[in-house]
Amino acid sequence: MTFFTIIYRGLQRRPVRTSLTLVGIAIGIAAVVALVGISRGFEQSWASGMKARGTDIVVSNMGSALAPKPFRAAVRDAIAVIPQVAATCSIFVDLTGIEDSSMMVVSAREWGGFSWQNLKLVAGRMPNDALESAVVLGQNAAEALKKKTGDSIQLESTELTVVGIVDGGALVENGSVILSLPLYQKLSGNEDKINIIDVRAVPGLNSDELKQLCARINHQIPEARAMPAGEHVGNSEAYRFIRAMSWGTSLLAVIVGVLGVMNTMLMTVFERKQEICILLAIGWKRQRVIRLILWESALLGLLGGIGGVTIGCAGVKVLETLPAIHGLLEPDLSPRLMVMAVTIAVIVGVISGIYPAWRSSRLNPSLAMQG
Amino acid sequence: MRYVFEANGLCKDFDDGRVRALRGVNFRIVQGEFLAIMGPSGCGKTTLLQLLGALDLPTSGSLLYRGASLPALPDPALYRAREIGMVFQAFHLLPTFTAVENVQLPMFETERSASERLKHAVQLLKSVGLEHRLNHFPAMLSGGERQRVAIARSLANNPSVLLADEPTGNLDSKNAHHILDLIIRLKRERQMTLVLVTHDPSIALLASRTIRMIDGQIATDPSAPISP
Amino acid sequence: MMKSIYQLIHRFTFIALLAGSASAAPPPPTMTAKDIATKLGSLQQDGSSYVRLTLEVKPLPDSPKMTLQLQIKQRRTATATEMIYQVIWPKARAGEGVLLRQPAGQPASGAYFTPPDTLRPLTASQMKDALFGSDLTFADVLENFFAWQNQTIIGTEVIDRVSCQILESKPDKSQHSNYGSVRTWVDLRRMVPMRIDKFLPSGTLARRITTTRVAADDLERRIPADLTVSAVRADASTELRGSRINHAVSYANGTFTADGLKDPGVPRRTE
Repeated sequence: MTFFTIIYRGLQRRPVRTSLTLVGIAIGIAAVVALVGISRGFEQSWASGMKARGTDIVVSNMGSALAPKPFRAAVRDAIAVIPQVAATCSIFVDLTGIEDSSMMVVSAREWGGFSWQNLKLVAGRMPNDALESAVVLGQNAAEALKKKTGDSIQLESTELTVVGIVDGGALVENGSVILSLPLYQKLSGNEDKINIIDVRAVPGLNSDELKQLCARINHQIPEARAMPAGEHVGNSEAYRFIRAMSWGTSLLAVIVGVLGVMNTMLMTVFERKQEICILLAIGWKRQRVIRLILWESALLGLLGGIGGVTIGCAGVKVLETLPAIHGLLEPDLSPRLMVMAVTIAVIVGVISGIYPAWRSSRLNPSLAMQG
Repeated sequence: MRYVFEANGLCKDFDDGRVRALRGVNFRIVQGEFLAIMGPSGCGKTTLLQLLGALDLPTSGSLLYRGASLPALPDPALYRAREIGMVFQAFHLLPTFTAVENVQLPMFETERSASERLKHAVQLLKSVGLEHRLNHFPAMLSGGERQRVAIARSLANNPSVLLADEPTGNLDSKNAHHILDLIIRLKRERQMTLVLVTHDPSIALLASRTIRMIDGQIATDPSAPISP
Repeated sequence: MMKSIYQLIHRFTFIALLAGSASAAPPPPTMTAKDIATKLGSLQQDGSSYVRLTLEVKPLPDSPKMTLQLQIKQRRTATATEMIYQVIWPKARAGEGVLLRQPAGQPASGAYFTPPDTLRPLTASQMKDALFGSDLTFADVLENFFAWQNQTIIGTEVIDRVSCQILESKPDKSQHSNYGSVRTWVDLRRMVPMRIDKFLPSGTLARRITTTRVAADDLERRIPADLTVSAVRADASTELRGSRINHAVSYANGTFTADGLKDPGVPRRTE
């Protein structure tokens, strides 16, 4: 028999209560895994979208409006001449209602720009030239709009033809309606305007050097702000809001978990008052009793955490397979997140056990002789 | 050091002095002695045993263990773990642990490894005649067997003093006789000092000395023998 | 059901990622009813703009939902309101549009265009007709009741967890309204109407317009982005989902004319 056996037996004593507490923690941790995983997935999907496009730096003017604010297309030329900038690609991203969908991402890209290169044709072809009345649809966008190649699609008041379905390698890319920049500028009244510039830096720059390059771009271009790809979303107020929301909800779940474990452990201490006194009477040190209670609650946290990670991952996977959501969620269920969630659960367990442990350490061993 | 325990003017109050359990108790116990403490319920026998086991602190007076003040011990748990074995009237075994596991519980405060703990616990249970009940939970044992397990547990760390609080109080006369024989045999074999609280005069007759208590005071105390 | 879940997630994903959240302005000091009406009126009469929205109409609970993609070209000034609502999708109705005009203090007028070349003026009574089959009338989209003389605060109420002042606007005889009064639940912190109830002169509630999403516009002001209109017919519902608003436009003199109504083009961004 080891000390761990004693801890385990403590939890085994009331299997129903222990199980209910575990379910409580597991649900809380499942919420942490699902919410944080999904919100991180958003950021990563943007980052992977950028990576898929081969973009190192994004120049945009992310205000608080729905889409980045437009600026002069000539800004691109000013950026292109900055040393260490290998290539640039002008983009106009818009959010607009298309046919019976009330909100779609429209991504209009400089004709011949590098941001077209990552698009892999799944069906059909790419537009033939910059002004062909044609779009290609990301796979998810095609599914949402119920379009296939050859169908017409109404963009603003212009009818265009879907000439291809593409896999952009990332959630954002696959949810977009993609067309040539000059065509969209013309049909949307945004001639000579863009709102994003994808910048490819010369190879071999590390993250600090990329940041320095961003600073140089920002110094020269007052209209927009350059940020390393992916970070621009991570730093946006909207993403911070989502992140805060997911962590806030998780915190709530964790607090419920803390209260659940604390309740269980307090009940344990009250119920096992005489047992604890006996242990003290036969020579156990108070620190050992404290350790016993803390380990029990930590074990509850650990088991609840493992259960929660399993439920959270399974839940997200089930959600992903729903036809309505398929392809829209790209959660980040990384081992790091799972380890973090289990760690949180263990910390929750330990924190919850502190008060019960303190209570148990204050018991008088002489009570062992009563009853 | 001549005396194992030495008490002078020992007092213990409860409930802010409203209950006076011990009122100036003086006694000495020598090494290897079998001391019986007798008296009616509420006379302070168990309180005295608690103070000897450092389970509680006296309100006033002095209580020495081998010359050192018990209330001033820096680590009373260590004293209980190393020096004292305790046997209770209600056995106080932990219900979720088997006999052999219950016996191992006090050994967690020693340097013994898990395998050494198990080996020692098995030996102890053999010595109390329970080698066939090692993996039984307390609920599966008779009253006498439970008390044997409790005795084996009290010996886990080879104490020099055994404190027993009405160890036969919950047993029928046959079992009580066996348990008492066992305790006395083990005391002799291990050369322990035994302090046994009882209100059974027949048990007290077996002791080398009997203290009688009334209302928190010692009514009679034959002088301590020179040798056990 | 699945479709709506899809749209919900879709909107959440992309709007939330692209949209920022403008830092909330501190609550304004105590404002009178007139101050609130003037402020809301000036936010509404904000010059030229171009709006893209999706209009979803469900005429009966069991009937299929009708979705229209609309563009609105509008010029709202203190002296006049001029607007063109045009259908850009579905294809069968593309080009259909209505021109609405109301000089301040004068009756509203309008014309309805059906391609290829049917143009009919709207009479005063036709101004009460439904806009593209929705629960809004032509007069509803034109009327600026914040400019009415009689404005009072009649209480406060929490709408969608936001504490709102209830502003009651009543027209005088010169203001040619179909309504006897309009109550607006105003979130003063963001200066956004969260609910508008329009009452007939008899006191009957004729329509309720509820803001279901507030977003920042291109000038980074908070505006109602999604609206639900109800109560014209108890079993019908109309939803408006705004996707874009652009104030960087200027309209030529001919835009808000019969000729302009026939032009489905998008105005060119000016800055």
